[in-house]
Amino acid sequence: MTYCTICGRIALKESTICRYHKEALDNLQSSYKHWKEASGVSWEEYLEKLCQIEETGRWVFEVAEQIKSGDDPSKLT
Amino acid sequence: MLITEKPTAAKRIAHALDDNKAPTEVKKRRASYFDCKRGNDDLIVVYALGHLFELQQTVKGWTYPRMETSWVPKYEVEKKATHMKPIISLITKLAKEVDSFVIATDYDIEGSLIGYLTLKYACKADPTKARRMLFSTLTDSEIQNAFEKMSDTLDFPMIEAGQVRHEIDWLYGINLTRALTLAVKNIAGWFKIVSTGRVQGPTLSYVAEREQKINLFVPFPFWVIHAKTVHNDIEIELEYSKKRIDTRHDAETIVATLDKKTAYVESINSRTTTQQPHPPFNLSTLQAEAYRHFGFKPSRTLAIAQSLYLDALISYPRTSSEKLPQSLDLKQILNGLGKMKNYASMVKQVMRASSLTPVQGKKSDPAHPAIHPTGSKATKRLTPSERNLYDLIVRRFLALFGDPVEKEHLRADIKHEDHLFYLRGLRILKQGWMEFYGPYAKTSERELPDISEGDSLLLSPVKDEERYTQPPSRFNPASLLKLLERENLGTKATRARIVDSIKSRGYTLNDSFELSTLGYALFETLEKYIPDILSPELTRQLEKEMDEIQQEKTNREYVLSRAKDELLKLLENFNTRESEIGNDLVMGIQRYWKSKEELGECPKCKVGTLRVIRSSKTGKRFVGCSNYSEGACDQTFPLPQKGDLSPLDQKCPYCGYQMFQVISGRRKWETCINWTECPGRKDELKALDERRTKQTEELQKEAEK
Repeated sequence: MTYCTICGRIALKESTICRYHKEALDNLQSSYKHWKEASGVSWEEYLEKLCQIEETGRWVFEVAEQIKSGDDPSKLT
Repeated sequence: MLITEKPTAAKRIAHALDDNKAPTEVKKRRASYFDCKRGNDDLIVVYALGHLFELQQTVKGWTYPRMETSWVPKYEVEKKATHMKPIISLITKLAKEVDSFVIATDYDIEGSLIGYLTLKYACKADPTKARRMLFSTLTDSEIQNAFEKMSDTLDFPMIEAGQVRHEIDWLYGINLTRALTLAVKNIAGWFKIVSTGRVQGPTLSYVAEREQKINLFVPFPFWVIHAKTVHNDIEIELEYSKKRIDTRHDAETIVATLDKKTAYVESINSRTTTQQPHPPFNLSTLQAEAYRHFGFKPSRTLAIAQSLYLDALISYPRTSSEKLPQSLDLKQILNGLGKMKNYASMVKQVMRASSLTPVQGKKSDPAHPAIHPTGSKATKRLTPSERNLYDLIVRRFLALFGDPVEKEHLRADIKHEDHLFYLRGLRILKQGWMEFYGPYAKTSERELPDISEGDSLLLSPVKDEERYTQPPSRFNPASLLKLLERENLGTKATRARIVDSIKSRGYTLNDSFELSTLGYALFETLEKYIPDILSPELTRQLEKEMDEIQQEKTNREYVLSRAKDELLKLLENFNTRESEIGNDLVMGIQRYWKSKEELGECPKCKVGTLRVIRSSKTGKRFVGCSNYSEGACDQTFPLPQKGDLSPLDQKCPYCGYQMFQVISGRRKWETCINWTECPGRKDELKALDERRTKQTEELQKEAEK
């Protein structure tokens, strides 16, 4: 059994994160298209922005921080 | 013998029924009763203290399942209820000499059950021969009327419904809580009560689902346009007709097109609307309004309203009704209120109207009318909270007789090419009922600037601002209560307690109902292994069946046996997965403790973790290093001794030490673990010292007085 590298919950099968952070990652990735169309930001700027905005959900923020710190999003899943 | 629900009610009822309005209170050890005379009858008025009897399992053992129960004196179940013993003994003793019994408890499910149980188990009397007084206020006239017209029989369907509610809540609460607690104990050896219940489970699930949405929320950007203009030397802010611009490019194009351009007032339109008074209060609308204006939790509002009711100032508060019956003597109530200096002029105005027809709401309640003042004068000095709530109820009542409010909405359309701006104004043409509802119905008037059609306005500056979509908001006590009511979970009497219990069990963190790690652990575990406990369907079905008992469409035995079958199925399912459930809960509880008690790395040894520790000698709490037991680090920090602590995810900007939050009563503040030495907190400490000195001085002054 592996545990979520972000929160310590049980991780999903063949994943390093739990179901909540996986859902947050999915949301984060799918929302980038909207952000890019709206403001033309790059992926890195997008993550930076999400970490600064207080409206960002906690799990989304934690995933964004994890990616910013060097984790490849594809390795998280 | 008249059986009442509380000492205050007993006193009022005895006073109302005694021919000389001077009943005698006879004190016996730590209990008392009232003796009064009415015509040829000698009346004894006794009181309960809410429920004197509680359910207890008939088979011993702190385990599950436990399905059989019996009613026993409350002091046998609760250690703290020893003060009920002399009251029960007194009632039992007096009942031996009594030839007729009357139940004079509140007319609702709980009141009827309290009366029935007291009669059956304390008086040891035959309930089929007892009579029932029905009243909605504790005013002398209504009590006397209720006594003269009392019912020859008790409301047995209501009693059965009350009994089965207690039985089912006991079965679900006790068995599920034990199952969860034992699952943790069997895995980790700790005895940590993990509670849930028939309504608590679905309530937790609503809070958790909302929290998940918030945690998974990705905000989207949008832009708003701000434009200003100056007219007759007055700066005016204009509202762009499109509230949200979806892309930065579009927003910047709009700014470039409009900045420093001239727009024209194309038209000025006015629209008049009327607004009827709000319907009379029922318990949930009163709780929502009291939270909005005074910040009272629903349970606090209920407690204050109950106290006002016992003082005969308002009608019975546990009602769903938004209607005032035709039989209600409105003139008498208004005359009473007219004698109070705060309301005299308003009452005069109401009385001037040709007919006294109050606005009615849609909801009704067969037992009680909407909450209204009785017009009686207070017999004691009201507390500030009582005064506030009473004022709210009186003003709402007076507003029912007011004319509709008339409002004039003005809108100027200002155009530049295809771009449209608005300027809005609001004028109250007729105050109507708002005059009575006063501070609780504030609408801010906005004058439309002095502009005319065809005027030209220079748009400068025009700017765009980037904003973000908002996550769903968390519940507050009032909105959670409203949801429970809408979903038909619990009753008007129990919902406020359930809302409180979610917080008091540690499942949420503060008034905004932010789910704690413990709440998450329980929710996740139940959702994964026994989702039925969280489902509102099961509990809603039981509520429906309990209502049907009251309507005599079904009976207690059938509903109880069905509920037991359902519960046994749940518990069997639980039992087969107990160790998995226990494991998940233990992990969740560990995360919870970590989040509540760990305050980061020790600044001294850099190896241990700082933890909240309670001294076994003094019972006081402080912060200590986890390396202390090995003798490697003696770092400690003092902590405030009162209030709920939660570590924060931030460092002190002055000294760099870990920050934490303290919530004590209604006060909430943030500080660092180094607060006694922190250079940035000298002012806070000084203010604390001053506050303490002031408090001591005030106490001394009061003592001198």
